[in-house]
Amino acid sequence: MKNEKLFDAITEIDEKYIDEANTEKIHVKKGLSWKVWGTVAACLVVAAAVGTVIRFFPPGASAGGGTNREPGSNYMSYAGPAFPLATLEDVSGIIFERSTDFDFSPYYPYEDSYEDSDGETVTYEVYDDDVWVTDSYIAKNTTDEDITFTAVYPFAGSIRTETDRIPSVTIDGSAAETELKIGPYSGGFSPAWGDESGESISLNLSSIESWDEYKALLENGEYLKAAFAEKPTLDQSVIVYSFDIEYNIDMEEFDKIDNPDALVTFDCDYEKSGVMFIGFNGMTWSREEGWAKVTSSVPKSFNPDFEKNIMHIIVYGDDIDNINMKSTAGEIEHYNDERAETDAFTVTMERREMTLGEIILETISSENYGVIYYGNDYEHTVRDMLSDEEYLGFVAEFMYAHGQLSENPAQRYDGGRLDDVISETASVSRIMYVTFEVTVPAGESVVIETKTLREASYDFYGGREKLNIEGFDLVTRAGTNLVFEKQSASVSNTEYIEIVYNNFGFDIENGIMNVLLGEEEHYWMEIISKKQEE
Amino acid sequence: MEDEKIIELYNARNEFAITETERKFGKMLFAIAMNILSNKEDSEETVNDTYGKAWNSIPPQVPNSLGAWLGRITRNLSITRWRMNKAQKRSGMEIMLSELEECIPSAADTESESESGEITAAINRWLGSLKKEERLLFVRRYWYGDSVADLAKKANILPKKLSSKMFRLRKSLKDSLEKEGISL
Repeated sequence: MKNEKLFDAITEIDEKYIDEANTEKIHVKKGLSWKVWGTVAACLVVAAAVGTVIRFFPPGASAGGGTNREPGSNYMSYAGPAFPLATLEDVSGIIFERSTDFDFSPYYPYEDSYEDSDGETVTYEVYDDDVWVTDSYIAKNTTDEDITFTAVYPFAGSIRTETDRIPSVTIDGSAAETELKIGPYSGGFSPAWGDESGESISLNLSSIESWDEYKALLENGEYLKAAFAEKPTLDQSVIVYSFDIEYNIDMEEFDKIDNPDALVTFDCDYEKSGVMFIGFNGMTWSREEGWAKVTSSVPKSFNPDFEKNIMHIIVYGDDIDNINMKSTAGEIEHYNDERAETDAFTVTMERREMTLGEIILETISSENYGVIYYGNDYEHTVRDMLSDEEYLGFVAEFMYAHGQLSENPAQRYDGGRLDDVISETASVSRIMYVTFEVTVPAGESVVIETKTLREASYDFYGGREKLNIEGFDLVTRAGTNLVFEKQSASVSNTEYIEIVYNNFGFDIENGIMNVLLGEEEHYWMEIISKKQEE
Repeated sequence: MEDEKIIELYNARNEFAITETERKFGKMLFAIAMNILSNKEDSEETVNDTYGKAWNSIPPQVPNSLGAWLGRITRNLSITRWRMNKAQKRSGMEIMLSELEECIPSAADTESESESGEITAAINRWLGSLKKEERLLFVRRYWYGDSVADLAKKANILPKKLSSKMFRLRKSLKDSLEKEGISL
């Protein structure tokens, strides 16, 4: 049967689509909006710290990439180009010479192994699709005075970026003391699929997909300023209702209960109050009728968040009333239905008055938070380098720019779920800057060398000509104030890769591995791994 | 427990591997089986068979995504079982199959039938071209086998509206398969 054959073919679809459909929420239609929160907040907040960069895509545009794109641009996963060095001060007395090497040694296959059931060690070959980029600068001081400046070396990443991908810097061969500055979210938001009404303009995150968007972002220097700016604070007074669970029966019995849910209902005048949530996974509300209903599934003994629940309702402005807690369980017909009440557990509540910053800080510094939010494991990432207080600053910055405190909030955060804002602060793409001091003595030169382990840009499937093409690129002028005498680029350790397309002028077969760059603003190459071809 | 840790348990021949697998994926696997077989006992057995298969396959296999890998085993076992007792009442499988009829491309110029791998590759390309929401809806409906009613609940839209979205998606898949010259 033909449909069975099709069914079998669907069984074998790519695992990433299977995983995606198992973990991602489906946002088809936006709920009622809580614009009041944005408005109330906007009146009371002095100023947003950063300029908001929002790009709008017409529906259908952001699926991007794939088979039809131009070489060197618009990857589905774009790692960002190697940016040129820049400085905070004017350094017109210094002339720079740049040379950038792409070292493909990570593509060399190496052996990995595991132990099988008989205790035998099984070895197999793997390779990494990364490249070491060494970006070197000779800085020549043409004046008769020493010049000291703060250098900034940008790279694209996120607070989830692994620390070993942060560029390292040497000055005349010795390691430089560096500091990391982190810019705001570099992408924008895009509409939901199939929304012909045009109402859902900002339900999805949409990251930068091409070098010229980075160029536009860095053009006027505002982005760099924002990366160095002090982060805003969250001093707004709020009322916090915190909930906890008491189990009334034996856990063995409790674990058999279907869908135990803590249900909280309350009345709220949305003209006078704003409400945000932490730890609730379902919500319905009516602005007109002035009520809301939130639910949180009660952990069973085998759930990772057992006895580690975090559940808060955060009220801003007038207090809410008629707060009612119910313990429910069982099956329901329709998502709007209420489950039957149960005695198996009790929901308890505590009321506190504090600031918005305090309750968010309490949440992110709770050791339970990482347990509850799967994927919140941030060891060896940039997050690991930040204190909880510093991270709170980035959450605040994100809330003022795109979240509940923004004058132009993204619909994505309309529902008031702070969990999304807190976790997406870590995952959204940003430009980060490695900064360091350099002194170039009068009439002399200094060599600044940065070394970065960079990821490839790629398409999630097939790509052009069905090759698994991976891209690496470089920009020559975007975001820099420096004057370059010349720029050159090279490739090295290319034994296990083949350059399929490039505009650098590399031609490995004919030994052209080192080229002088011309007037282009963007140079790119697309490669395939020889191991992958086998 | 993290997938890597569970796989380590399998590698160490530790029976907690099954316990942990059941904790983490049991519900999902049962749903996949149930959506195809529409029979509780059969589905339970299929899920148990899945654990047995996992136990026998890891090692040497090292699944990239444990969830997807297990899900695929459950799906295949469920289809086999469904084929064995086809005489049964109308199950979720029949409903899905009748919907998928609409995706069958009209006879292409090519004379021979396409290989299953080619069809999957074409479906992967089509999925990759979709907006995320469309893709989630399609994979939830035809891979996980969620009923239209359940899926509508998940997506927070009316079942009727979802039906018309699914109809457009099936049409789009059909067009795409035809364009690629796929013949079933």
